[in-house]
Amino acid sequence: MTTEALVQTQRSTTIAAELLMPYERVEVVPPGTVLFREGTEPDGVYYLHSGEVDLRFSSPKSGQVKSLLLAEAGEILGLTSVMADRRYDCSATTRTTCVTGFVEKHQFLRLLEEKPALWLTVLRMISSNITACWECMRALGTAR
Amino acid sequence: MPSPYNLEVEYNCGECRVRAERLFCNMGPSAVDALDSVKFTGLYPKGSLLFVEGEDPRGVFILCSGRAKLTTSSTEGKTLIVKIAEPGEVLGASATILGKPYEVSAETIEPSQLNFIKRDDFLKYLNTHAEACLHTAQQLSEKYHSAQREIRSLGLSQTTSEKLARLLLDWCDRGGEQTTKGIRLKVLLTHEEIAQMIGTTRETVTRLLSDFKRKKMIDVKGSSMFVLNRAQMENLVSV
Repeated sequence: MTTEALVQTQRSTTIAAELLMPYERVEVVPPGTVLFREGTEPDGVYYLHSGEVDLRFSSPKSGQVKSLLLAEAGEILGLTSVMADRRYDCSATTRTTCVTGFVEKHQFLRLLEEKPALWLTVLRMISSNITACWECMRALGTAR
Repeated sequence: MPSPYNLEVEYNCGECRVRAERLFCNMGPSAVDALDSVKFTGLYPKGSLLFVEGEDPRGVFILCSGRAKLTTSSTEGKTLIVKIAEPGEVLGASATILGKPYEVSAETIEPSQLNFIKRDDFLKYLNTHAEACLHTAQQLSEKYHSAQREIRSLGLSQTTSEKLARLLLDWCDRGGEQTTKGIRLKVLLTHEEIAQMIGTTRETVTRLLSDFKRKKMIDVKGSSMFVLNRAQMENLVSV
């Protein structure tokens, strides 16, 4: 990552933390807690203050489970499902003790209307997720 | 009026007749006027390379008509098609927003009209039009979910025939036309490109398609493929 990109990412994370703070419900969550399940309607987003969260998906037929991504502090979980208004397509389970800030969907969407500064942060986070997915695809699809 | 590559060209986004159907472009007059003022319209033949993986981001391309394949390559030179982009999609947005090199390459697979917006102009546009941010976020979220779907298929499929069946079923759901003969798919990809979508070889795809034909699961007529027995194909899929 270039210095410019790194600085932008850190700045985005700070902006997100500040803007979400008045609206979030902060919780300390033990390892192994499911924040949301694949296939359920998104009720909001989780700002990850600290800790790590596993994003996994499973096969409804075989029950086989695979890891998708590892989310780290500073990320907003459930963002793409809320933005695209579609069900979560993976489950989020805490790997370590985490501090999460939950913001309800309607509050988050209203906040975006009221605080345009949050937009670029949101776009950067979704873009980073896409980059990570494409890396994952490259690893899976070109392995053999 | 004659136009290059027989494309129906629309130079003015405000007058575009299909704008309302497009996730990104379906914005209010003020955002569309601003878009018109920063975009450059280009017409490209099939096989045009729009940007290359690893290249510094120059900006975004809005695919107005035509289609493009997004590919990524391993260090060994093996290519994987991560997505076939359809009209209305914005290409190169994530790299442009992040200020990081393009993560994929984009190449047209049909004659296409694309509107290009330089990186600085696109970022300024986003900063001044919240509506454009919303539409970009929705567009990127769809791309993310599409990537997740592909990862699910690549990661959970046990066999290559399962991956191919999954791909064909996906095409049925997203653009298949129900006919008396079965579900008709317009296949404009070569066997090599289909192989690059599921991470296998051209020879394997040719063999598997022959196998599907022999089992009366599909039939091929020119560029049309008919899925004759969807249930049988679904049985191949465990994902």
